[in-house]
Amino acid sequence: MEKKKILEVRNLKTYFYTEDGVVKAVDGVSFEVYEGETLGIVGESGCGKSVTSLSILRLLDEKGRIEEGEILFKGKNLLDLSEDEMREIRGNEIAMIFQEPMTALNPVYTIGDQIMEAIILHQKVSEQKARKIAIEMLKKVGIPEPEKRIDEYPHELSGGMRQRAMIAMALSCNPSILIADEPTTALDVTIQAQILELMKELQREYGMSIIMITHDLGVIAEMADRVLVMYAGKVVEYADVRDLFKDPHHPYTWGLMNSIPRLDVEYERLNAIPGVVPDALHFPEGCRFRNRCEFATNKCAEEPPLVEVKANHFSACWHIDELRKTMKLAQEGETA
Amino acid sequence: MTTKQPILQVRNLVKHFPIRAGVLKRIVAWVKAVDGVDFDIYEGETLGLVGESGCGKTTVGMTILGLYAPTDGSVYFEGEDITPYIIPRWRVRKYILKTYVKPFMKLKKDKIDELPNHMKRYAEIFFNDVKSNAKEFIRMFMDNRKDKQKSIRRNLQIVFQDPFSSLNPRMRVGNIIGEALDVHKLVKNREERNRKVVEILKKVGMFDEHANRYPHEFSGGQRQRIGIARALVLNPKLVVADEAVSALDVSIRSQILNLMEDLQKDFGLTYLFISHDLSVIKHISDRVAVMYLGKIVEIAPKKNLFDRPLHPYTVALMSAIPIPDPDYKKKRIILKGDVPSPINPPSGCRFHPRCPIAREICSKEEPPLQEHGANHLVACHFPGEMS
Repeated sequence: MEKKKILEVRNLKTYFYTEDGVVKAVDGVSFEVYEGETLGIVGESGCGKSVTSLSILRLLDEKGRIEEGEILFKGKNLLDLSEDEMREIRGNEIAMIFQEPMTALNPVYTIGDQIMEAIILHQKVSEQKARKIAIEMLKKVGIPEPEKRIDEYPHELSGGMRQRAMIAMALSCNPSILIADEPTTALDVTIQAQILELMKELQREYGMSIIMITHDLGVIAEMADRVLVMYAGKVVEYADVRDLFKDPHHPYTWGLMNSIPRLDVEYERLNAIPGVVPDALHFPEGCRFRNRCEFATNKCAEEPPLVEVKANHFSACWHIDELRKTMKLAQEGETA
Repeated sequence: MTTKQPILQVRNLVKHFPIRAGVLKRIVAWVKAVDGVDFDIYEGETLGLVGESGCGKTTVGMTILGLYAPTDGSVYFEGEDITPYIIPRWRVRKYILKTYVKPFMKLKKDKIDELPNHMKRYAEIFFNDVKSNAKEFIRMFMDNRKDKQKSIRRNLQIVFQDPFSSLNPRMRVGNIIGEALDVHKLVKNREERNRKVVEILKKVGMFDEHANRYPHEFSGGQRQRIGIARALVLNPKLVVADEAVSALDVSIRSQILNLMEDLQKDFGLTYLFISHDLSVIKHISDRVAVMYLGKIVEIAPKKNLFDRPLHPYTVALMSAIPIPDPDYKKKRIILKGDVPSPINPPSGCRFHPRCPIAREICSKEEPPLQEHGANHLVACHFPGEMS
C-alpha cells in the first residue's frame, strides 16, 4: 500500500544568531510525513525537536534563521511562500498545539472568541455560523456543556480542559497536519491518558497526520507510527516504531531506552548515559554523541551519515556492528 | 523489616491554607491541601509518595520539615514529638493540652500500656516525671525551643524539584553548601569548612574546583547534584526528595537516581521520595503511599502495591502510564473528569465522582485506611474489586 507523502523536510538547517555565537539548533534534518500517520519526534531538551516544528510553520523569532533546506508541503516549498501565503497555511492546513495551554491561549479573550477567530479568518463564514462550528468542535473534544463553556475565559478551565480547547481550535479548520509539541507534558497522567485517547479518536475521524513531539518514549510508543530520534540538532535514528523499540540501531536510542525505569520491568540499577548533553554553542565535531558514547573511537570525529541499516530503518552511527553485538550479549544475559 | 524502627511517624496530619478576599482580607474558604494523613517511615527505607498535582504530596513533605506549620496532627521523629517545634510558639500550649494532657487526665494509670508507642513515652513522663503537673509538662516542650528546632532542621533535609530556582544565583557553590555548616556551627574554621564542602562535592560526583563557581555555570543535572550535596552536608537522617528528578532529562534522571541510591547506602539515609511519576517511584521505593486529594488512599510495600493494587485510583493511575513498548497492549482505564478542587472536596470517599466502581455508600461514608492483607493499607469500601 503506497501512502501519499504530505510533508517532506529536506536538509533543514535552522540557526540562531545569539550574542554568544551561532547556535545550530537544527542542523541538516530530513524526514517525511505520510497522510494519516503519526510521526513521533523524540529527544531531550535542546535537541532541536521544537525548533524543527517551528521552522515548518516559519514561526521563528528574529534571531532564528532557516539557513538551508526545503519544506515541501503538498509539493510546495513553504520557504518560498510570502508571509501572506504562509498565513493561509498556518492554522488552516497545518495547525499546532503547544505544551502549556495557559500561555498559548490569550487570557483576555473567551475561548469561543479564539476558536471563532481562526474559523472566520480561514473559512470566511459569518459569526453565527462560526459560533456553531466552535460549539460543535468543543463538543467533539469532550468539553461538557459547550454552549456555556464557549463564553468562558481560559483561566476558568482546568489544564486538561484547556488542552481540549486548544485541540478544538487547532482542528476547527480541518488541517491536514497537526503538530503537537509536548501536548501532555504539563498534564497529570490520568488527564494525559484522556488527551492521548482523544487525539487518536480525532485522527481516526478526521484522518489528519500528526507530528508528535515529546521527550517521553512511553507516549511515542503509544502514539507514533514512525519515529525520528534527535540528538543535538541532528537526526540519529529514523524508523518504524516497532522496529525502533525492538531493534534500536543507535547507541543513544539504546541508552535512552535503558535509562528509563519501566513499570513492567524490575531493575537492580538503572543504566545511565554518562555525561551531559553538549552545550548548543559548542557541539563536538563529527558525531555529536561521541563524548558520551561507549562505542566511540577516533573514527567518530568524522560525521556519520544517516544510512539505511535495514528496510525503512535509518541510523547515523559508525559502530552499528559493535552495538548489535553488545545488544545481543545484553539480551542473552537477560534471558539467561 | 519488622525489626526496623519507624524513624518518622505522622499522625492525622492536616494542613489547610486560608483563602482571603475582599478589602479586609477576611478568610472566605480553606484549601484542604492535606486532610488527615497517617504513615510511618522506617529507618533506612525509601517511602515513595505518589499522586497527581494538587493532591497534597508536596505539602506533606513541607509540613514534616516544619516549612509549613501543620493545622492539626502530630509528627514524631525518632519517637520524639517534634510538632511543638514546628508550630508557632503561641499554639504549643493548646496543642499539648489537646494531644496529651486531656487524654491522659481521663486515662487510668494502669492503662498506659494500651497506648500506642508514641503516646506511651509521653504518658510515662507525664505521670512519673512531672507527677501530672500540666504546667510543668507544657514547659518541657517550651524549653530549648531554638536548639530543638535546629536539631530537627539538621536531621531532616530536603532536595527540591527545580534545580534552577532552588540555588541562590549570587552565591558560589561552596557557600551554598557551606552556609549550613556555619549556621549549625559544625566547623571550627575556614579550612575545615572547605574540606567538608569538597568532600561532599566529590561524593555527589563533582570536583573541588566547582566550589568556586556560580550555579548558572552548571547544567540541570549538576545543579541537582549541588542541591543534594547541600542537603547531605549536615549528615541528616531523613531526606525529603520533592520531585527531585522531575525537571531533568531522561538520560540525566537515571544518573541522579543512581546517585541517590548510592548515597543512601553510604550515609544510611532514609528517603521520603515525592513524585508524580509512578515508574520512578517504583524504581526507588521500598514502600509506596498513593495520595488523592489530601488523603492517602493506599499504602503498601512496593511489590504488593504494584502486583496487586487494591484502590481503584491506584489501578487507574498505573494503567494511565504509557509504557515504552509498542507491543504492550493493555486495557487502559480512562478516568472521567478532572481532580476536584481541594477547597470543596466531594463527600464520602473523595474519589467517588471519578470512580468506575462507585456505589451508593461511597458518596456517603468516608472509607477509613484499613489493613487489607499484610502491611497493605487501603481506604476503599470495595478494595480489590477493580483490577
